[in-house]
Amino acid sequence: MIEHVVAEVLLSGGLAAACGALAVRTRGRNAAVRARHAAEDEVVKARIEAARDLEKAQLLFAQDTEELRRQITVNAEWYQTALEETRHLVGQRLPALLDAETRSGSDVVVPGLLHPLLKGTSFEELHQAVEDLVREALQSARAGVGRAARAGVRGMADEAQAFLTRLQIKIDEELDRHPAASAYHQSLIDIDHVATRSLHTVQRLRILTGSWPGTQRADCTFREIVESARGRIGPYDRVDHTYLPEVGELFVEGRVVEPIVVALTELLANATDYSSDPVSVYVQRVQAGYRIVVEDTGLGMNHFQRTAAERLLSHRAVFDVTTLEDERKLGFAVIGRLTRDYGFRVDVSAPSAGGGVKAVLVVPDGLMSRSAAQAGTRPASREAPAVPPAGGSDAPALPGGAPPDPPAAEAASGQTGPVAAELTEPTGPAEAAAPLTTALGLPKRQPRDPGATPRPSLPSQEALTDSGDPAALAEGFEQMRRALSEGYGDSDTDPGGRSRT
Amino acid sequence: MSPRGHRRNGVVRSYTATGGRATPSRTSLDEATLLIADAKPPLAGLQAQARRVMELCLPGVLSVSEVAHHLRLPGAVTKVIVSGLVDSGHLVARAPFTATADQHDEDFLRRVLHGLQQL
Repeated sequence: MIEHVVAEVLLSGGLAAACGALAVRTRGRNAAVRARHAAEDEVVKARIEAARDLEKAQLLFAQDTEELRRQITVNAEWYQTALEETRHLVGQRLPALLDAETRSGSDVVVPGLLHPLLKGTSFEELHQAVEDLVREALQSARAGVGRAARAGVRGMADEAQAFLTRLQIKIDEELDRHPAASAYHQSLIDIDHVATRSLHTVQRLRILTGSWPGTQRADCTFREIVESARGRIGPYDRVDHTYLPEVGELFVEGRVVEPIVVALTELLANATDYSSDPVSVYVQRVQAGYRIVVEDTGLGMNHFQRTAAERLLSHRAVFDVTTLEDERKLGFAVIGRLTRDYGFRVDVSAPSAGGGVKAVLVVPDGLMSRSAAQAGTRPASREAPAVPPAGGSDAPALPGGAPPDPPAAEAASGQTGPVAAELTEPTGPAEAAAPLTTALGLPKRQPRDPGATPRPSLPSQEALTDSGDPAALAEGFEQMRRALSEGYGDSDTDPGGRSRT
Repeated sequence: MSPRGHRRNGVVRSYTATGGRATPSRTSLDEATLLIADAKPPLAGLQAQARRVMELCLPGVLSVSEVAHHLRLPGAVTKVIVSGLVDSGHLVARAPFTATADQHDEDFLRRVLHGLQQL
């Protein structure tokens, strides 16, 4: 187009114009070349850029692939780890947990995580949760079974104990029924020993299952406590009870009598089991209480046995039928339960002079009987000045003579009070209440109604026969004779009877 | 004192007190036999229950049945302990009232007997 126009200009114009046009034409061509070059450059540039981009993309791709591969490997490792950890949970941790929970007191250690890698992850948390759930389920099932089992044992122990107690009472009744001694008495006494030991076995069973000893006693003296415990073991004749009246006649509160007797029985059984020599028992005053000491001359306990004994003595857990171990080792566990529940102490750590075991049962002052009503155990006339004691020179040997502590002294001095009141009472309401004779002059019976008019208590038998003075006895008898003859002289109700003499 | 019904009887069993024997060494004792303590023989070496019997008897005279009551033991068992103490010279056993019986005339006693029979 341009050339056509240029030719038209050349034809119609001049040379100069033709030259100029040529120059323009040349310039145009140059420009076109340049333009082409530029375009070519652009293309090359673009190509290079594209290549570079491609390279970059390829590099990224390779990196991503690498990353993914790595991720896959890591995931596989995690998977393996988790699998192994779970296998460890099922195969090791839970069985160990079952072991530890079912066998109480066993030293099974429940392992933790297998892989430290999982520490602090959800895995640790979840596995721990599984373990906790299983433990909780076990414990609650076990507690339920234990409760049921203990209740069952207690129920049966109660029944057996009731029967055996009745047997003992029956034996005592039979011993009392026939005053003359015979082979029958000997048999009864032998049976009694067996019955008493059975009773003790039942008691230790129920105590181990968390129950109380099953018998409530009245206040008893240390003498009775030691003698009672002595009678509950087999070789009771090997127990040498050193009885001291000044402590032996002190009263222990009824609530704790049976627990103390049972605990002391266990100590005596233990002592006689491990020694064939006599076992010595005595009661002593100590600071803030009394102690019953059981000393044997056997082998003694080594360090481990002593530790085991002390562990059992401080044992707080309740046993059930599934955890009863060797019955020979249960004595300290029985004592441990009793000391916790009743507030006395037992200690086996003191060294014994004889080389054996020295077991000490401490009864604090708080468990001694506070009542002064212990007068009933002593002849009431002892403090009465009217009756001179026969063995007067022996006064210091009397239990009331030298009480070792103030409460006992109070008890002793206070004891004449109630007795004296009892003796003065009989001239009470019964005599004054109604005319004593009928219209015919016959003695009138009083209606016996303990609720309305309490029967006045008579002077006790012991008060009458305690007097050892023959002259006083004779005088009393003479008085009775006079009273009787006067009575006969006055009443003529039965002349026939007298004429027959 | 503990509430009523809590037992003190039977705490100490019979065989413990007698060393397993049930038959007394003497048959002359009965429930009414009076026991008088002799303070001379030493008390050391006596079993706890025997020692207790001595304490009970030393201030005066007690009958066998009273001793049994204080010990809370059956009479037959008490007799075993008591006869042992009589054997060892700690106790003197005496039939009740023998020392003063001849001070009363026979006629009077007969009248008492008949009077009792008429009741």
